[in-house]
Amino acid sequence: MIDKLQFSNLNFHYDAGTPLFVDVSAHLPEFENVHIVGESGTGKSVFLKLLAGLIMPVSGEYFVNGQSVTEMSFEEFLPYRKRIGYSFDYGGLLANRTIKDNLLLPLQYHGEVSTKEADERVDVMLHRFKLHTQRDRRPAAVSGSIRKTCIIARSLIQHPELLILDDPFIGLDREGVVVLLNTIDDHRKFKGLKHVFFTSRGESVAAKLATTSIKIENQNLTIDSLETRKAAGL
Amino acid sequence: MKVTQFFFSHIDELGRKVINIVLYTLNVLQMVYLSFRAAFYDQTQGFRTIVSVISAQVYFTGWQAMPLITVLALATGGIVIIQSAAQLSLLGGASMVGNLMVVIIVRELGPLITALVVIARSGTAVASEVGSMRVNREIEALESVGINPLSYIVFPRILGGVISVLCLAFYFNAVALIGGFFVTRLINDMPFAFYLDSLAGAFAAEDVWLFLLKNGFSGMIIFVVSCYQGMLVQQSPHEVPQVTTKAVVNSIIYCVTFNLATTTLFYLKQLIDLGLL
Repeated sequence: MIDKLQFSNLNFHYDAGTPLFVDVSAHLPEFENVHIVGESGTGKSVFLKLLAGLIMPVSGEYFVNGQSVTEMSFEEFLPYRKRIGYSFDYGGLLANRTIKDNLLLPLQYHGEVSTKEADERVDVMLHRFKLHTQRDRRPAAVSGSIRKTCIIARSLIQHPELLILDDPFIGLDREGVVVLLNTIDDHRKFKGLKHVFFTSRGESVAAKLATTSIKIENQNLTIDSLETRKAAGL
Repeated sequence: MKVTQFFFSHIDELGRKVINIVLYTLNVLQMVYLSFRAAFYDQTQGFRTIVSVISAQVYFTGWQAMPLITVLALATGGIVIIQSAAQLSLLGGASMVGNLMVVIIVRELGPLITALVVIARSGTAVASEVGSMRVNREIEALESVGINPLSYIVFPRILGGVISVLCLAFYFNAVALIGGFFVTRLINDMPFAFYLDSLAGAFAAEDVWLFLLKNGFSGMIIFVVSCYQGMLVQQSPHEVPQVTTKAVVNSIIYCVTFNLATTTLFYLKQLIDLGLL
């Protein structure tokens, strides 16, 4: 169960790089579709990686349900990680596995669902995102939009509670965007999806999904509730 | 003053090099520990998936290297038999050919040549594969779906590598000892039964331990160093050939040093057992 996400005095910078986050403390919005906005290079992707536990803050804490992720080993964070779906802005597919096998791997590896159910889940996802015709091809043999769609589909295959999408709409056609928005809606209603965090350069598409936004500027976060803004007539 | 400065700057440089080597070795050992820990710690992780990666590694490293190992083993075995049989016959010690073959082939050349072949074929492949996986964010992708790269990428490669090197070294020894004899049959009039008898008398129990120690550790060194170098790639594709070259160089240095140290300790023990030391 992932209910509460919190940063406390969090600092982050890459080796010898300029700081991206300085002393950030925030309770992150829950049960919302959160659009992460900010100028290029301000750390939107880094924020998403911190949220997914793929990188750790240099100092400070990141709490999930009040438990400090920074102090957890890989195995201790694993129960949470299995409930987090992460979609990369580019790359991230295993080159020596087919499109189908890329989707199947997390289910096969963790063995939390039966082989039959894993196959059914993958089949549903392949058909929903229209990947079924490319299912037996490897990532290098398919187009960029198919790879992108496959990464998004894989992030949803374990029925995550926290979905993190880094620039999901880039490379998707109009139909793909509609399928993604419907799938998120469907997972929120029936598959236990609670929190969605995403970055997007396409403002119009992002507006269709976002209920809240977080702005990254001056190495800090500004949480802006769109509902509040709408209510205030802004 | 200048001489003193020159002297101390060289001492400093040497110290830095030694510290770097020690740190590198500790980092590599830490990765061995973490990969084994990751593989055995979480029992829910897919054992079948890991076994499939191990078998793929054994196929690429062991099975596919057999033709090259065959050629090298036949050549090495043949050369040593021709040279030793000729020299020993002159000295009237033809029955010692078995001892010489065991000492040269089984104890020394077998582990070394096998290690060099595996470094050239598979060490480079593993380092560049893991490096490319880093560049393509496949390692991050594994983590994102809850798969520990150390248990899914590193552990199966180490285990598969150790199994492959042990099998290849055994195969090398068999082909070199038996095949080498038949290759030189035309210019060598030694009876096969005599040769086999000499070989059988030359093997000792410690040869088994020496075989397992040298080849097992060589396999581990090659694949741990190659995986470690591959994991050092940050983001850029141009780092891949650099880490691959480093993986080869470091693997050779570590394997040769380990073989040399083991041989030295083995013969020191023999001297102690004989009461000469």
